[in-house]
Amino acid sequence: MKPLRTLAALMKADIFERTRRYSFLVTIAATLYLGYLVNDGTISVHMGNCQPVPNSAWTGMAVALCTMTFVGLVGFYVVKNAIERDRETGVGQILAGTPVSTTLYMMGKLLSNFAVLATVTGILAVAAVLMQMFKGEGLDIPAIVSPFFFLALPGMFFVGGTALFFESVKLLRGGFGNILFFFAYSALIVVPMETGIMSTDVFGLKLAMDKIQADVRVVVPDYNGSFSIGTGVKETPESKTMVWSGLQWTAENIGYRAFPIAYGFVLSLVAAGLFDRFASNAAGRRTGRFRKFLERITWPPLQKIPGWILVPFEALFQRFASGRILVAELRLMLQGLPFLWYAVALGLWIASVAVDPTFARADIFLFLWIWPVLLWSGMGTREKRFRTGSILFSAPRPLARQLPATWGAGFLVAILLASGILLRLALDGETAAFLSIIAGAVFIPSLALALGVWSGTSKTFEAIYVAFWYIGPAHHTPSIDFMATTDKVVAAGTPAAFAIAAVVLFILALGGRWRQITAA
Amino acid sequence: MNLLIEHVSKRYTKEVWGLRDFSLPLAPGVIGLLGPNGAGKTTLMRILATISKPTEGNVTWDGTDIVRSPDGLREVLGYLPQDFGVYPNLTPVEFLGYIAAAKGLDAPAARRRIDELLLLVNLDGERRQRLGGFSGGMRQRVGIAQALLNDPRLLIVDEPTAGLDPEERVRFRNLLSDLSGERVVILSTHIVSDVEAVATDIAVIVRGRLVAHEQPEALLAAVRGLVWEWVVPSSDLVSVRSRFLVSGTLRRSEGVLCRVISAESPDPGARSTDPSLEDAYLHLVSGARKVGTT
Repeated sequence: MKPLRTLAALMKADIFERTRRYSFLVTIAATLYLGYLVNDGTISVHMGNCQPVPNSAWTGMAVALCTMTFVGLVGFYVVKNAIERDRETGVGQILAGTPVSTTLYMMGKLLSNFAVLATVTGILAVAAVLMQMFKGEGLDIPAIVSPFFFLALPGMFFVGGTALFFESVKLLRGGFGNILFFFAYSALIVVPMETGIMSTDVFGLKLAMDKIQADVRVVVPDYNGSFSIGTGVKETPESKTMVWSGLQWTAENIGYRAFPIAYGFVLSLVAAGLFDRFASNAAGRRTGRFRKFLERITWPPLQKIPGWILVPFEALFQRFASGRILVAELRLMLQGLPFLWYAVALGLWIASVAVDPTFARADIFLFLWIWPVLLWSGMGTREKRFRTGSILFSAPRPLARQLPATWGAGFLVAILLASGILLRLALDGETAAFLSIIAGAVFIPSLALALGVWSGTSKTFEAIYVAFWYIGPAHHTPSIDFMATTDKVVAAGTPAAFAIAAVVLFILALGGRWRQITAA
Repeated sequence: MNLLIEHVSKRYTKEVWGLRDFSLPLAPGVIGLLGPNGAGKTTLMRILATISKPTEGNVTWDGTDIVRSPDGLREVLGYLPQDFGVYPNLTPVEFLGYIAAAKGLDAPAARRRIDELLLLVNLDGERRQRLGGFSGGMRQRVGIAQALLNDPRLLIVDEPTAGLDPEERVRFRNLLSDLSGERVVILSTHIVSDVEAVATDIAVIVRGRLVAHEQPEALLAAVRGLVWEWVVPSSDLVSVRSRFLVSGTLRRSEGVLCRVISAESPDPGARSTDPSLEDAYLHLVSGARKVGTT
């Protein structure tokens, strides 16, 4: 019983700590907003030329699928801080010195991750029941709730285990892991669809889709096979209706849903095996070589300085951000980067001036502005992460001096990396395209700074920027291509919208920082 | 040059107050701010450092309200927070350069100042090493250096000797004494010996309220004749602790030498002894707690 009690205590403490944080309120607010978007049809499941009747079975399944699609992705970033929180607060050091086994610790964290994601899923399930009550299409609560229970919850368990795994592997702990998960998540959706292997269907999308499509084909013989979950897709005018009876939860179907639960457990156990039990805290951030160096040297004796007198001086102050603070912020951003980072950046830059201009702008440029994502994501969050806020915010004019310099450093990184493309556009006289890229370079640091200051974590920018980059520039979607990778974007007036957004975001960042300085 | 704290209160929640009706005028010199854990010292430090706002009351620096116009004070402020961090990938020179730039200091003067400060805090030999590899005490010394960057007129140091080894602690105390000439230095700590060594004035806070603001001599005078010492058998120690305010014990071959604070002689064998600042502090805190609970 003792391990169970310990597990319950670990889980309970973690849940209390999480749910009493401001960020949990934000999560709940975002969940309610998602529920609203699903309710008003902004986000829904679209079946091409077939329109299912919104009975309880369909409403439950549609909302559960939307939950899986959106919460499965965002939820990862929400819960991927269970170990990090113990590391930052120092609680991990205390726990590491107790007899709690690493496996038990990890199981407590897994259950806590799951509890948070299950809360979000539960809220959306309640929203689905309420939606159905108001639709007047008959209320069958088990039919609404069962997709959440069998489909969504096992998927959430998998996400909880995956987040722990990412936190335990040093390479995946930071921004690189955040970006990697975005692509891994896309792969987790596509792979079961393409291969048909049900054991890879962790989110249950294939299980649901196969059943829905088979049922549609019986009623609508000319069904075009379309199946999408998302926004902005409208039914075709010639849509035919059908009454969907739901997915029967047979032993086979439930068996498929056991896979993500098993994967969640396995990933957590692997995480327990890889976990350093906060050993890296004890050694600070010293790397092996530096630690050895420290062990070898002996500290010098106290140096005698006669009189201990500091030379008084009349300090001269500059009113606004100066070149020095800009250089200091740039150094802060670039310091500690491995040589490989610069080598890749240089390689991409050379490619951007060497290859065909259209290819360079449409493709090479994409990589130039995804490569520094981890530099931008630190903007606005460093003061919290490294606890330098009290020093910096008590310096004169922190809003006029330090924050614009941080922005400037992010802007300079964007401009430097895009300079090859910009140079070619300037030489070709393509002023509109040139200015469009400048608008993008203004937009990125503004987005990073606003998200960083308000969320306090680099994960927010990493998740949102990569999703934005993937949907917009990488797919050359004119309305959201902030990089202006094609002339269609310029013609659509998108850069002007992003320039305006940049100003708004920068003002938001100023507001957030002002709140940080004055709210205490 | 004066800092005036008038009727300042800080309320965190409906029931929790960090400070209650706190008033204190401060002139050049070192003021030691003493109080038990959770007394409100850090709350006061944060308000004076302009990173927290009082719920009630005013704080003025040379007549200027620091809540409404914080930048005037910030230009002459040096602040060492109790809990602060550093950027692990920067060297001390780079970090101090960064803070100097954030403070808006003129570049050549800042460079000279950084060199001088690194010598002062005994980190000149580590100027090219990254802060991520520094021990807690070394980081604390970087914190001390950043607080002195702009030659502050108001220096606020919150638990500055935490993590310093005894040698560095003495070194820092000496530094504070030497700095105190034409500036206001506020030293917040619960280590009485730190205050004893350098403070020209002492303020004691208990439960968010100011219970004393005196010179050390006056605090000592208040407990003169109240401090007693005598040897008791080890088995009687628990009983003595329950009846008297014990400010110290020392193991002896014949028993335990007890030092207690009491208005009357606690034992026929007890003899009156010279009070220390620690005795005075314990007496004040104990008295304030009794008043608070009755």
